[in-house]
Amino acid sequence: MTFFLLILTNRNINLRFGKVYTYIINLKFKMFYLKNGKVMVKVEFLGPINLEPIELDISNLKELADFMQKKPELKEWIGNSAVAVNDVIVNSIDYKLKSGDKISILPPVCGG
Amino acid sequence: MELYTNALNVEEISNRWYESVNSLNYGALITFVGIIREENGIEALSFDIYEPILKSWFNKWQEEAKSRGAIVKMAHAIGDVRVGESSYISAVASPKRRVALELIDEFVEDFKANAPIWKYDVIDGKRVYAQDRSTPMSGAGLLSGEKND
Repeated sequence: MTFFLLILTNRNINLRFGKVYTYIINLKFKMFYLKNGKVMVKVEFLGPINLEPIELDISNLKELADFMQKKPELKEWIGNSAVAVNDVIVNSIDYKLKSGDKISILPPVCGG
Repeated sequence: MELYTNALNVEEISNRWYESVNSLNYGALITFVGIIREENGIEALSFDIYEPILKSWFNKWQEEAKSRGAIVKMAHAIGDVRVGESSYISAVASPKRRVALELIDEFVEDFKANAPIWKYDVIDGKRVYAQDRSTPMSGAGLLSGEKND
């Protein structure tokens, strides 16, 4: 009991315990992602594609292409759309995605 | 860069741009005004814009213009714009005419090819994507391995 109270009242010990705990959680997360190799990303379809944004469990753009290939309403946009990650146009299919990335699919444009 | 819902107020925008370059001692201001024309029975055109990428596209052109001693401006409409009204105004100002004449051409052409804006014909109140007049952006086709550079 005394020991327990000591932990609660002593900030230094508390902080140390907190750090160890956070470290273990981070490590578990890292191990989970290493094992699965997947990340959650948000994909939005702009202009005439006219679909609601979706969340996908993918780690690269090749997997996005595979996903779109399977959807009749998305298939036609694969060959003519540009792709942006976090609002920057991407030029490599090997681009590595991180959790929380926002992907935008940009179909053919015509301003003016 | 200025974005408006529906048609642009051409007079207000071009006058204000003229005033804003007036104090710079520039010798040339070229304003390009895009007007919706009647074609295939349309009553209006309609536009969707993806602002974050349009902004970075425009910033790049501002830098390019600056490196040539010029400035660029643009205004665009979002939503419906009727026949006879304006949906797009761009401008280049520079100390001498040659730079401005060349830049307005490059600026407007790259705008057509790479600004993230989608156009629709409005016929009987319905929006139809102007697919045949649209251009894949540079970098399009990445997902199919047929990249357009």
